[in-house]
Amino acid sequence: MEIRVENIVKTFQSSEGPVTALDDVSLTVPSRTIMTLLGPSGCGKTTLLRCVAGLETPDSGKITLGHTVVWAKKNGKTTVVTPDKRGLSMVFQTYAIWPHMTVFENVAYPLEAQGMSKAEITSQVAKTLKFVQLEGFERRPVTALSGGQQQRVALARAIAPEPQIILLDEPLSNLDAKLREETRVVLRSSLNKLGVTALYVTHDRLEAFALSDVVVVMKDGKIMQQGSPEDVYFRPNSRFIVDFIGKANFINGSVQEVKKEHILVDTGLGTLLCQFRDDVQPKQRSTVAIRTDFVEVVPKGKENNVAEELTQNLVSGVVERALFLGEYREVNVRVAEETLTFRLHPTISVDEGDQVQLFLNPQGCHFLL
Amino acid sequence: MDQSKSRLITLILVIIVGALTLGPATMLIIGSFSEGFGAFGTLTFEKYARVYSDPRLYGALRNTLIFTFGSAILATTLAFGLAYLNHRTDVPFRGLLHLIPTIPMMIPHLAYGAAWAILLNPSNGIVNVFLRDVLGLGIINIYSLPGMVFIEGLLELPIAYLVIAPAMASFDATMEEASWICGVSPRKTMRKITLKMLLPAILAALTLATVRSLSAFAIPSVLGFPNRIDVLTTFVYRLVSTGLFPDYGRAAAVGVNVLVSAVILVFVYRHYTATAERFVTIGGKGHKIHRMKLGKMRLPMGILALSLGILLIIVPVIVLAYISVVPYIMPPGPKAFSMLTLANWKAVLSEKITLVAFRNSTFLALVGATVGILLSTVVSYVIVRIRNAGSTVLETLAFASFGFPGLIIGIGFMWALVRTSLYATIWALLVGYVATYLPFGIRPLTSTFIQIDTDLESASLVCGAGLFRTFRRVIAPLALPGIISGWTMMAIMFVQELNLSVILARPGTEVLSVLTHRAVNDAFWGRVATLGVIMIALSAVLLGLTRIFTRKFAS
Repeated sequence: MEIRVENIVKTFQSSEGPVTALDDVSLTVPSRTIMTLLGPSGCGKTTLLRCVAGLETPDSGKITLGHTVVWAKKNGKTTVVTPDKRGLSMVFQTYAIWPHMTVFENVAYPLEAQGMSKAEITSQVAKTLKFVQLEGFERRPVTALSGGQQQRVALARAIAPEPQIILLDEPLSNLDAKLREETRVVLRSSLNKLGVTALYVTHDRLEAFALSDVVVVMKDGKIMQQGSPEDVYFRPNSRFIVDFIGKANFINGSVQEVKKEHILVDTGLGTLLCQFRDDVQPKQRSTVAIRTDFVEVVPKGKENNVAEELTQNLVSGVVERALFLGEYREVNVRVAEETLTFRLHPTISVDEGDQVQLFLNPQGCHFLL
Repeated sequence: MDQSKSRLITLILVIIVGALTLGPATMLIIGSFSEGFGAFGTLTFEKYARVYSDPRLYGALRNTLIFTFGSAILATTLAFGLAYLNHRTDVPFRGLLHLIPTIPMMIPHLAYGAAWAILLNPSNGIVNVFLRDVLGLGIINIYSLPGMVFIEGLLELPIAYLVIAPAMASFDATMEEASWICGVSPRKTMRKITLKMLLPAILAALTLATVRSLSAFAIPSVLGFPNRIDVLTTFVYRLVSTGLFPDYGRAAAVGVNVLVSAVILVFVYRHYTATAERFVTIGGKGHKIHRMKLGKMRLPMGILALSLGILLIIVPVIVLAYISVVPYIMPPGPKAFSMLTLANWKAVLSEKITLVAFRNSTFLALVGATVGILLSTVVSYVIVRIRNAGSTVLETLAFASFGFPGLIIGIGFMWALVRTSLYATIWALLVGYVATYLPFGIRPLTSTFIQIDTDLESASLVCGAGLFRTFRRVIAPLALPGIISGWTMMAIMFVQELNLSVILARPGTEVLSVLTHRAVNDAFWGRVATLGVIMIALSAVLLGLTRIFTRKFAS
């Protein structure tokens, strides 16, 4: 079942006047797709999710689930379907499992609301608990469960009624790091197996990349970029996205030439081959982002063996600082007037004061508008 | 702190607190099996046999059940409604509504009951006169069981609110949202989720209000006395205050059962509080609180809630102040205002016994609260920081005595003190006050100490400061706000103390509440009102002084 959000505006009243939480947001989650809303806190991602759930009332716009308009306000006429009638499921950040009920009662709750028979409920709950690997926990009070188990009860309650749409509001943020990584994998395969349409809110880019078919990055109530995880990672469209998904150095540059697969940009480091974009003109001045992890050290004496078309992006400089951080080595390299930060593979040993030659992969050089 | 020293301190405290709490309780039990007051004689069941064959006891028992549960249910219902309006709806005047439950502790129950008697007594109650003579309607007789239930219910509202409101405030609204998402309507969610999750807090409030109205003496005494509607406390009081030979044996025989019931209820209360806390910890912080939009009902609900405040605070104060300056109960109007007089004040203030009582009450408030809070501070510290068998005993004792009915424990003190030199001295009252109200100091201070990080103390010890210096320089200053507010609360309670005083006071050791009680029995309403105003003023002065002191200390 498809989720369609059209022109949603939502403002909150705060002590310092109205705050726009959602600024004319439109998006479509195709049927059986996992979409994540990714962004820093306060970007409006949770508000958007809650609008879809019906827990928050937008100021204007339209929300459609499948073929049913669940919320619309146009010319003073409002259509409202209350959350209990929207037929979707939701996993809450705090889980919101009810402490006065057992695991069974929690998972059975939405089934009872659907008017299922006792026998059906029993078998459906058993099936669902098996799916989330909580067999035998039926009679446990939820207050006696660990955080991870509580999270699985919350998930079980959401999937027990076999919904077509499931909303997830930072469901993993209360788990510790290791458990979060494991659960993320399980969650992805569970959602795929169930074949549901899922809208997933998170501020963690790894979680977003690992889980989703489509990532929507939001900022200040607006959608900044939308695409597959690879799209967003390899083709960031703004300084905000570059900053949010990774680390980069920002330097000034002006377009020299727009080529077929690349653009040539004049910078303080020399002329750089940057990722292609067709919406720029020669002489145009702006910022170039050089990603910290799209760099290779050219081994000494191999300078001439670099493929010819790539000789363009070679820079050399002096290592000012080198930190060993386990997974990678963070180095500051002085190149011409700039100090650039890079992440090198930990096996590449460099020391402060070393002269190095670096190849800046054009894939990691973005001319930003 | 080294083991032996901490063990010694704990042992000393267990002995002191044990003597203060278990002492009178034990004496009550022994007394109930004794032949006579003063000399115990041989073990006898005679007192039990006599008092439990008295048919009036069963009347009192029936009244007690109705009075206790009735007022507890009323208080809890009102408290729930007020807390729900305050925390979960967009009701107006929320700032004001939050204050309502905190102010009534300034008003002595006896004076509060008297104010209502002045308004609604069947012969010349101001409101009744108006209903009967002006409107030609029937009267509302406050000297009845429903009247007593209503007034006691209002008085227990604050304590019930203080139990329910925190649970309501920390209620995680996503618990309700999750239910809506599951396809359950908001109305049904209220029943299946909200009420069920708040149930432990509601039951805790109900139990606490029950314990308190079980021990209540003021309201049954003011409103039950005229029509001989006895509850167990007034029944016990009658046994020791009327007739030529007060029978402390029979009083003890009834009192034992009241005491046991109260202690059981207190542990029921503890059970519900623990469940309520477990329910809260699983929730965690919600996205934000959803306030239900009351719409057209917004203003009416606000006014309804405010009127509770008016009934609780404004009415009694105005009535008492007014009645203290008119010659007799008369409706306010031109006639009354032309007859304004200070006669009541002159009479009360010129009597020697008033000055004695005023001095005694002030002494007990200042010295009693100081002794009480010092003991509470040390006991709470040991309960929180020293974890051994002794501290568990202390905690249990402090908790069990939380439910001790003052009047009944007063009988126990009589048995305990009758053959000592403390008997009939102001010190007897002091010991009784400190013993009975100790839990009210220990409970808030325990939470104060829990909030002080252990590392702060460890840091001082590491710096080379000894235990005593650490306590004086680090712990006490940090706990000072808690200690001061505990002291104020105790001092105000002591100004108003009636239940113990009415048993323990002897000629020369009267306190203000005892004088007020006598005036109530004699239906000298002008005197009652004047003494009531004096007690309220004294409480207000104590509160004001500590406020000023706290502010100075803070700056």
